[in-house]
Amino acid sequence: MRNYILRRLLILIPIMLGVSFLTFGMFRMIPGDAAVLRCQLGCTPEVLEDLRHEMGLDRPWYRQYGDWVWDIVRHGDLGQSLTESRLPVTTELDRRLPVTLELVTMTLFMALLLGIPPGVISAIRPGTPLDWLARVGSVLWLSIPGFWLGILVIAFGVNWFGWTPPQFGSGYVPFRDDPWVNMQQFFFPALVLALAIAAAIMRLTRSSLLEVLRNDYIRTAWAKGLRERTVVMRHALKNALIPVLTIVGLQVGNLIGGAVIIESVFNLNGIGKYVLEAIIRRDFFVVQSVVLLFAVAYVMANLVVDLLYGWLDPRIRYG
Amino acid sequence: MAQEVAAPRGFEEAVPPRISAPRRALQMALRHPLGAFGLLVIAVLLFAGIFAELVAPYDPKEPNRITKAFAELSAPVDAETTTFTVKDGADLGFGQTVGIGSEEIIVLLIAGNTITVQRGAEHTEATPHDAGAALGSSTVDTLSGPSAKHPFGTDRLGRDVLSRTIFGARISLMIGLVAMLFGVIVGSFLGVLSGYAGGFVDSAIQRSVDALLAFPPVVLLLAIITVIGDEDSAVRIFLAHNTPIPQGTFLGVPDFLNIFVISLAIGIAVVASVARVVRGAVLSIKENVYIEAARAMGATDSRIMWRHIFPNVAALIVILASITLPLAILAEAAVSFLGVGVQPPVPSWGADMTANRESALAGTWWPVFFPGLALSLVVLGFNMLGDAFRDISDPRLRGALGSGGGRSL
Repeated sequence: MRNYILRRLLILIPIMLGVSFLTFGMFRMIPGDAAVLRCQLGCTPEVLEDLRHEMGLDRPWYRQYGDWVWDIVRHGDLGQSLTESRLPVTTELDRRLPVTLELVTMTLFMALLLGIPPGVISAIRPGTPLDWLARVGSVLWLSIPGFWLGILVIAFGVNWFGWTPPQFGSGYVPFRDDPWVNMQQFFFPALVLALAIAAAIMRLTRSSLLEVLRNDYIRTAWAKGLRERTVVMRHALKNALIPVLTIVGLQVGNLIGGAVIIESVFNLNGIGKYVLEAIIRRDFFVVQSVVLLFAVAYVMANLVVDLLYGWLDPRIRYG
Repeated sequence: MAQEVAAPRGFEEAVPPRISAPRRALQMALRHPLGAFGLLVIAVLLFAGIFAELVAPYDPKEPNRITKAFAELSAPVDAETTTFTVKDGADLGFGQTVGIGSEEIIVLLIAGNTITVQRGAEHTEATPHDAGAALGSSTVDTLSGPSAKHPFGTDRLGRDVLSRTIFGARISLMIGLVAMLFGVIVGSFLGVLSGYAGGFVDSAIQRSVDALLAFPPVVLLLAIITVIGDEDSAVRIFLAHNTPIPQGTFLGVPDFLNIFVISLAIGIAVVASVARVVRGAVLSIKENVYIEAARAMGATDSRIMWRHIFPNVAALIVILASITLPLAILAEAAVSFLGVGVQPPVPSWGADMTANRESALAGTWWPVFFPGLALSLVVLGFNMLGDAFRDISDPRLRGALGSGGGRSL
């Protein structure tokens, strides 16, 4: 087990190098470097040259790349913003990470809650109206874009119920300070983001459980005279959840991408909104570091999922 | 003349009953009602998108104006009169310019139902008017709700939302199609090459795919669009100067180059996952005996790849295309919504939603609601059609490879 984790972590190194190189290279392809963007009013070639030197852009590209990666590895220093404030990326992340983490955790929780039970019901009662309802619902949730649903929730909340998510007035309120306001802030964004993921989970739970229920050991369980509850919950579901887990791992990517969109719709000052704002004002140092961070989070989430397999299915052994 | 020979009884019975093509289609539709519904929705939106000029009631970029009546003349006036008497309900202000028929007048003084005006303003001739003529002025019809004249209402610039939604269908489907074609063609090519060639080529392609798949999809797409969507990005300059892709309006799509670059970015974002899936399939097909036989007969590598392996992954590729298309359409709407995709005034569902976000919070939901509804419907249509298609083409894939099973944007 330990060897397996070690090996997986070792494989991460080339992937991360590839990712960092890709990110770095991509943003170097944009014409007009960061100094040109910074240097606006009264920009002479001398001022531009000074700025380049100050920002370290006069070094050859491999030095820039090397220093960037080295700073991250050595000091955990993700660089700083291009704007006048020169705010270090890590400072911003400290402030914004709790928001995104809470959103993502709540979304995942809601997605499992809305995905697995309907999937199970639809698999053990195929062809019934409940099954039909769950399947149509899942196609609907997969097709309705979250940003649209988000705006509608806010717009109808304001106009029909006179309710706005509290973050539009006040900033983020941590759960410890005021659980009620905090829940109001996160309930709808998480729900909107969770629907599409829940639909994917529901579809896979259904097809996977249908598959498992055809197995011989399930027939044996029935033949022993076990109650349906026991057969489904204890014997079938645990095995059926393995492919579902893979999808949850893959959905972490959608979750991060969804957070970028939903945070901007619901005015949550998380990392997603940060990176989007950085992209729009072309703050590439911030973008490259945060994108790298997202990629690490995504890859790590999938590693965790792989490790969970062993816990769900003792037949899977990691050598 | 040949003599008719009666077929033996046994053979006669073996012939299955003939079903005409339309009847077969109807049977298919009845067996897959959701798929048929999807097809219908797509057909309608496709028709609207292609024939937008004929279908749309208004110009999608032209603000609509309405004439607002402020008052009515209670007595006729001749060309010289400068004092008008109006019926109750005059809603005029001092200094206001209003029109009566084709003449414009300026309101100078209001005293009860009598107003004093300056005749023939703005290069118009003072002419006589009958009693009952309306004093009105033409204003831009902003944010008016759904009505018989504008079934989907008008947006904050007074443009007809229905017309913009119809023209948006064209942009949306065009981008989705180009992005899907690019992603699936390039991805399949790389996948077949990587799976068949093995060795260094395989490693090189697969490590790049690993790196690309390590990005969350939306984030990758945003990064690509920032890089190649820039006004003087190398890709864009190359496309403008070295390819026949027109920069102006093409096939009814304004600013075609821009739209093409956005499609390209979305296409690049899906290349990696297509390549990964196709490679997996090629790896197993490669082990078949008929591939060995082809090689033994002296077939070249490229012949084996494209004549023997490719036809066997073609069904998979079509399925991948059916999953990719709705994702590409959603992706376009999402990036346009975030403000980095299609730019106004080009009608795009995503960009229109974002442009009218503020007014939606003030209660005018229609300019946001209808483009989003069209987007949801078209994606729903493609998802339902794709599900039905996967059911028909391979029952083993039922549910397993649905849009939920793949990487989605």
